[in-house]
Amino acid sequence: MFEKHKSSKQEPQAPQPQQDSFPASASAPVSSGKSAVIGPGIHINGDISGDENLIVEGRVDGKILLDSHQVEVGQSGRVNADITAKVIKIAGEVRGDISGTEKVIISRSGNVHGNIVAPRMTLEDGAIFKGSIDMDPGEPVRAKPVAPAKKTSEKVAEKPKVVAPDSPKESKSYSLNGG
Amino acid sequence: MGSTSVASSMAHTQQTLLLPTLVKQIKPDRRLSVLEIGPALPETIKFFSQFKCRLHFAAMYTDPVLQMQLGECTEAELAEKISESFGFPKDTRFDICLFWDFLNYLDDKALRAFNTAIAPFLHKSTRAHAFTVRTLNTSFSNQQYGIEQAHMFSVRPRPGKQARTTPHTQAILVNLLSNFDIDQGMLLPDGRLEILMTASL
Repeated sequence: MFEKHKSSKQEPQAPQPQQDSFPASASAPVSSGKSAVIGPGIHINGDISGDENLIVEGRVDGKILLDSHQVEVGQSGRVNADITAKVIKIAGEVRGDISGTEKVIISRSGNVHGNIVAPRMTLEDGAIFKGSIDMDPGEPVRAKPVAPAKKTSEKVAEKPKVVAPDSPKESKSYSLNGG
Repeated sequence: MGSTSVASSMAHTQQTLLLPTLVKQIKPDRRLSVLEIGPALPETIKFFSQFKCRLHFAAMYTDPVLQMQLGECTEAELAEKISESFGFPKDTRFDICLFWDFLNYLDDKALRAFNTAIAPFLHKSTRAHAFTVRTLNTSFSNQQYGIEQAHMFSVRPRPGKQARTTPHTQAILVNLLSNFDIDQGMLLPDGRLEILMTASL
């Protein structure tokens, strides 16, 4: 069912990433030299777990659990499943919740409908995403001080004027994420 | 080049003096809950990735409920449809709501329904950002927004046909969106008002 190959010796018949798929370097295995490939003509109905990286170019309905490895859903990949892996890269279509223990990347051809949990998350321009993203960068980062506004070569709107609200209110002090 | 790439290449930036106020209030050691009424844009995700947070994206601009307001459904029915469309977990309470210019795409009935639908997801310190108008003849371009930096939005053309707009002035908005009070407003050169609101629960 799975076509295995060494990433350094790609089989000629292995599905080639299409134009919008991740570059070859991006599919480098996380922790071993092997990747399993679900080809474009394969449909798996059930759960997948294992100890190597996985490339999905076909269709999967079920769950994908590869805790310490990378899962890549290629442009032709259609996954209707929750995915748990170390690194998850999506160029195809995913319906399900995604948990990346290291990072999640949705490329410009990616279409994801579900909730994502990952310490780091990248969404490329053009990607379609609906759901929620739970991010935790680790060490708390203070909000960067706001740089004073300055003119740049970019098109920037004119400096706005201050307008008092209709019903002036007393000055309040707020703190967020405390409710 | 796809339409998205074209839209991306036509993006420009817009300065904001109000958003930094919100950002300064974020406690970095606490999880932040953010509602974005609009599509997930790379720059917004990148901006919030510096915080421990949960971002909820509700693509309401393309949601069928935007068309339903023109039909004969009641305010209660519309509120129920909006709630269904949200699909947020029941325990969700937003710290920041980014409405952008969405409120101007809702007529009076739909805005009251939206106010009802969002109420369960607010807490007393919830703050919101939106664009409204100073006078009703102000027009809205078909744009979508992202956050480049605390003081800078990205503005891109929104793909697809623009929905009917129903701008509301501040005075009308506070009556229809009764779960929020307006704290600050900035008049922009094109006649729009950038506003910050706080939940009035």
